Amino acid sequence: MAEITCREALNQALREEMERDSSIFILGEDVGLYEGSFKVTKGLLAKFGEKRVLDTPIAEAGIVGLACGAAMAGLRPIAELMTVNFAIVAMDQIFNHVAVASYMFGGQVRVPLTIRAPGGAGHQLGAQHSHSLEALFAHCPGLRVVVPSVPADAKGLLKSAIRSDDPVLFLEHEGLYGVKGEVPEGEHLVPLGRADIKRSGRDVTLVTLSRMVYVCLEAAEQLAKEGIDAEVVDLRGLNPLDMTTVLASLRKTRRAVTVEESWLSFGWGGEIVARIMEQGFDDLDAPVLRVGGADVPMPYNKHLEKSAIPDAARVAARVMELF
Amino acid sequence: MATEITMPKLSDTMEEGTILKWHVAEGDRIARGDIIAEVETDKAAMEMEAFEDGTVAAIKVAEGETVPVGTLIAILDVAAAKQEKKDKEEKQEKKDKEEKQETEKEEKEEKKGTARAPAAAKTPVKPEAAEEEPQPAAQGVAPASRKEEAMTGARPGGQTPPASPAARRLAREKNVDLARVRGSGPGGRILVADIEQAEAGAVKGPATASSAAAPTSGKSVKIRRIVARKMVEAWETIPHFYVTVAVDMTDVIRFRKDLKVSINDFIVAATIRSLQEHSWVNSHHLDGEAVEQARINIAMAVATDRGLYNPVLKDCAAFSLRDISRKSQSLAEKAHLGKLTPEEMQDGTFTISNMGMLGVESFSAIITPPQVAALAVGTARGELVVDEHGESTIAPILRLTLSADHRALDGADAAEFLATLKSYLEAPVVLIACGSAEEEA
Repeated sequence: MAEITCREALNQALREEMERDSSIFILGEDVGLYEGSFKVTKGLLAKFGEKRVLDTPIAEAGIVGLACGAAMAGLRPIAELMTVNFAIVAMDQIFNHVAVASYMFGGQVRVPLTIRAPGGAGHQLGAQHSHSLEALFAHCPGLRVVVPSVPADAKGLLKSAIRSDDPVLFLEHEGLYGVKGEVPEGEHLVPLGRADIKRSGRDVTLVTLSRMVYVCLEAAEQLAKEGIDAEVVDLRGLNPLDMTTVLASLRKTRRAVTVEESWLSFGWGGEIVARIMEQGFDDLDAPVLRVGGADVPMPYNKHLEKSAIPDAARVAARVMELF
Repeated sequence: MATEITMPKLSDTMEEGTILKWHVAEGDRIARGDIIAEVETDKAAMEMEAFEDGTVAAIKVAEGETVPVGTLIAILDVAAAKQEKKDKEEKQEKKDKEEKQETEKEEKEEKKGTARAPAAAKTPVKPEAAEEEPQPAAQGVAPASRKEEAMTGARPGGQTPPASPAARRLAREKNVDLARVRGSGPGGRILVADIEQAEAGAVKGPATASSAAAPTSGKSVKIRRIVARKMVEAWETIPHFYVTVAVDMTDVIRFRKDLKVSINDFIVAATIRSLQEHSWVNSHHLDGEAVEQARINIAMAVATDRGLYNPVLKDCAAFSLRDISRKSQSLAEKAHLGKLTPEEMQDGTFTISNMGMLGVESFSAIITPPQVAALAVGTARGELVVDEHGESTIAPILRLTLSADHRALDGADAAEFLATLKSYLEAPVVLIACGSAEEEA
């Protein structure tokens, strides 16, 4: 199996799906001539032409609105938003149209639309470019929310997202585009809504996704030195949410900590905790704890940015509170 | 169920005790807190309290007899007392429930035909059951208390130790009494593993007051384990005594601002000088004998997020104040980063534990064996003092407590050492002058 970056894995997924299905087209700012702000759409304009790879003006609401209409009319658009924060500009389109159209028309139309957007902190891009907003989209029923962490998942999940008849928010972490990993060539599908155990352990379950998977793996190594064997569950997405895997892991470890990069207050970690309380209370040996980002706009300053998001030491320290 | 009462350790130096008088006889019913005996230790006669309710089943040591600490002196039957208490509580509960049902019924009758009374909906007894199938009161109680048990794992009315939900379920399934299990989780919480251990018969004897004694720290398990082992060894083998002095820190605080060193640096410097003058305090007690140490190695207690570390300022007899400041700062930083090497934590000859920055007024430290003393440093607080002219003034007063090993040091040794230490800190110019002279040399 070839070792490639997340960026290349995503590119492979787009290329293969566009080859497979002629109703798929890509639209967004700088996706064509410039080949994407993060070069995910590299080579696609040259291969598929400007009818299937559309450069658009800076108008997120327009991009999503057009894509929504095209999807309702039978095409399979893939819209790229330059960062997830800009999705907020298109929030009316996403929440009021993309998410609800199928319901409001009694299932007579589907919206097979994929919206890709990079996000996440760590690159000193300031508060307007660095947030992780997966919880915001997961709050809205009707939207699938997918958040990959490793190249193989990035490819497999993106292919499944494109094939889904539901609208999917596919959120990529800017800090992971360069991360390398083994990725199967050709047809490689990862179903939506299945969490993956990235590290097996018996003492505590770390529930996480995206770049925090790596932070949790590092924390697990630190904890191993203290004699604590941590299991790392990568949710890989929030809707559908795979509580089955989380609860199964909990039955084994009896302790859980959620780790998210985004703001702790009202974040998805709280949702996981609530569901564990409802469905796994009797399996617990300790309260479920949360680790999350500071409740502040993401600082530009490098040191402040670093301290605003969880690191392995903070995760390990929180875990130690359970023992 | 029987509980053993053993000769308690009533003072630090106590090894054996004499039963002067029994206040109870076999067959007597006693309650927790009752004075059951008078015990003479090496220091004084003291009263001994009962820790549990029960009936005195047997007295094993006669009045006037002397036995070592830990010897079985009496047996207490606690089962009867527990049962009695339980019965009493159940009776009370039953009474409460009956009253509640009565009130409910009255309310219902009152509001019949109108909306359901909100108060009735809130009561634990199902309103439907009370309404549709009026049951004899005694039967009505049982399901309610079972429900309570299922929800909390608690025996009705009983004080249960904290237990995790998983442990509670397992205890229910395996019929294990939570009150008899020692919790190993944070705050003494009983975990699944504890139930499994208890069920396997690994827990022997009643775990009285176990939850309070269980580890409560969320810090590093490994560090905690090491500290625990060391402290038990120290506490059990070293006969500690404590001497405290109050030191006027006016001059130290004045100098400190100009020199940009910490109060702790001054204390370390003064301690080093005092140890040079009272070298007996800088000893190791090994194989039943105290031996003066040639070098002065000051171990500093540093509390970090991970736990307690004791980095050692080695061979520091000739250190200037600035040397001390620089080196102790670097050691403390390493401690916080968890980067201390084993060598950097070995061979201390004297320990200084400073809790001043935590606002602690005064405390006493446990000696690290084989050292024979440890200095506990509190915080400097403004206090009213009367000067030599009889004028009252406010001065920053610091309390230093020396913990001393009575095998190696006597009260006078400790007092003299502290007097020297106090004199250095109240005239710190000596510490600065000595330091700079050596620095120049």
